Amino acid sequence: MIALFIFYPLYRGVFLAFTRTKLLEGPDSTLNGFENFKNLFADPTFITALQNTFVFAAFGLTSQMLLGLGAAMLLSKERKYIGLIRVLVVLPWFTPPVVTAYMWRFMLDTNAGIIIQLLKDVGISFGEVGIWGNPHLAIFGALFVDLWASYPFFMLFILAGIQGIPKDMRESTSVDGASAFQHFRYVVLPLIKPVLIVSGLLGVIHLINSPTLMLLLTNGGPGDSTLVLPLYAFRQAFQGYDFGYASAISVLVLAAIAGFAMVYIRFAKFGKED
Amino acid sequence: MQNLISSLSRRTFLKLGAMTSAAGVAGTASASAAAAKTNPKGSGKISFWHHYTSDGERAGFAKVVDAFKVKSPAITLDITTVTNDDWMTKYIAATAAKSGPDTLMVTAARFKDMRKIGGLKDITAQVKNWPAKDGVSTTIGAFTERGKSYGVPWFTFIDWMYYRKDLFDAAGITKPPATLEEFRQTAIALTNPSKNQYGFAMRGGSGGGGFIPKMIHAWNGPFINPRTLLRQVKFETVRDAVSFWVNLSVKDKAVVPTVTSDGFAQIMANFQTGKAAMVMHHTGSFVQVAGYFKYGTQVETAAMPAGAGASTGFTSPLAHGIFASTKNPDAGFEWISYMGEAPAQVTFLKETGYFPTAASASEDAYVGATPQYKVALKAIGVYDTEYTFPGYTNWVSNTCLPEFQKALTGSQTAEKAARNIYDELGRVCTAASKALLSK
Repeated sequence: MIALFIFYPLYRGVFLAFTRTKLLEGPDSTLNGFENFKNLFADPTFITALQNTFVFAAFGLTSQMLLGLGAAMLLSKERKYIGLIRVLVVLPWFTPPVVTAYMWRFMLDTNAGIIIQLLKDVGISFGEVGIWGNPHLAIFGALFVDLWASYPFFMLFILAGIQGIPKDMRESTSVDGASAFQHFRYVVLPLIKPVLIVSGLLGVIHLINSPTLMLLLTNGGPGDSTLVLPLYAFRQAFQGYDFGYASAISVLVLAAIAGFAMVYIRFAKFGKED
Repeated sequence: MQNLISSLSRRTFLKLGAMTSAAGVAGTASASAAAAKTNPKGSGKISFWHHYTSDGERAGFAKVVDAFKVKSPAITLDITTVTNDDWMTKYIAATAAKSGPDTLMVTAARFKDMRKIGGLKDITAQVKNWPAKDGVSTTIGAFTERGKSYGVPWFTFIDWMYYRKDLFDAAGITKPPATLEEFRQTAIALTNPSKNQYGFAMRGGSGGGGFIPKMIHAWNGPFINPRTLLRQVKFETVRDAVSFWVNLSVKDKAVVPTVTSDGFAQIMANFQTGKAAMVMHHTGSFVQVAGYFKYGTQVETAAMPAGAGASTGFTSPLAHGIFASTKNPDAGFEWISYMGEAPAQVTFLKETGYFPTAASASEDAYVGATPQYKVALKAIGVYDTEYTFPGYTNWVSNTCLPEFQKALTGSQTAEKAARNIYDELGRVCTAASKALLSK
């Protein structure tokens, strides 16, 4: 039963990728081999979306993991109200993506955005067109919003990892004359490595697979400057009604994530002792 | 008379028929004929999907719903808001699962796509028996395919322009622009970046793609053959139309600079704050604009400027349809036909500005007493109806808009944008025409 629920939708998705399924031509599918995949690589919009997805995933993973790591290190120390502080810091992660997107869309609006106004007051300007109207800045605006919303995910994982390290290890390394950085580099980092690997993998899957934030923040614009693969697949399916082509995009994304996961885990020697 | 008939319950109507028969009054035959033309009364619970999001729309619609509850107490409505962005996603899922709402909105632009995908019920027989059908005879055609009706018209989007009369007066401009070239000159004259004032709040963000077909239409006249669905416009015309629109921003600098990210909320905010002297929308924002300006002295309405081929403005009706798999079509039709008649439409007009489709509603005293609506009434006879063919909305949203934005941001030339828009239009039209001929 479980296999049915997991594998049948997956099978349907993969099957559709090898068919011509255009709802405007009728509900039936006809097998067309690799036609959709061939068309993908001749489609300049797909190539743009692929590049944007890579940029979004690479910058997103790096920034979110670093901020999550920093926040986890800060919040790992026991102090007054630490429980409350941890809950407050995690709040962005609990915020629904729709709320996150609309809130930041307006806070970073050139004309009315409070953050833009505050930045202007201290001499930082994003030009007349602002962040969302600038094809070079819009993707970084979206990355910033996703950083705000998603770094607590990394923080929680890493914090759990840090809290699993026995407290007396720091005392031991201090006695041996290790600095705080050396303790972090040679003790903490190796011990939380499995956590970093797993959270990194899940983070990449989230970054590649979530069209909601981009759909609501920029809808892929201006032009195609923030168009990412899942958003392109969504457009092809529900606006172009071409489910075969949309499935081909999704299958490629699935294959890319699976490939990345295998390489990543092998490269990181996950599950093997150093 | 038709309104009177439709407002009576079936039982009351039959009683009246029986009384008149018993009395032997002449006219019994005609009354019986009218009774036979009345749809069966519905009862029970029905669901309805709409995409109203603004406060004014919701308030106006709540009044319509309240009035319907009084008129048809046997019917309970279960109303759901589905945003425009999610509309087709949910519609496709509901159609595939055969578990959609009983009744739902259908815009003219989406009608052909929704019809092709399936999910809309043929309501020809019910419309035929609907006493008020003649009142919407001019708009129901937008929801008719091969002689079959799929929607009862509710209101019509009528494009128009708002202009800041105070800013016009200050600049010594005495009348709104009537042609696109006059529009350009007026926008330039009203632009003063040192005062943070621009001639026009152009929509280049969400919804901005819809202005590209308007421009091509204004330059060329109808650019699709209505019989074959094939493209009937030259590339040079598309290039000139797109270039004109892009250059208002890029060359003339007469447009608010944030154009590429400006959707409805932003253009209206720019107009409200005086950052822009003109804005293009439709009558649906009439009441909203009245919330912050006084008509006559601060703001006025004007017809959309005319191009060489046609007006820039479209009329575009919106209807309500019945979902194919509904189990309660009688109640569904009672609900959607209620909204097809003048009283409900005038209620909604007063709260929002959305213009009625029922002919008698246009003659309502409120319309006559509101001088700004003269523009809308006149436009009905001048504007063409918005296009609707399979693939149209996707072309507008996913080709016209991004290509237009790329030209606005300088990522490509207006000519290159026009070329991509033109080529994709050709592909969409060919596919639509092929599908039409293969039937």
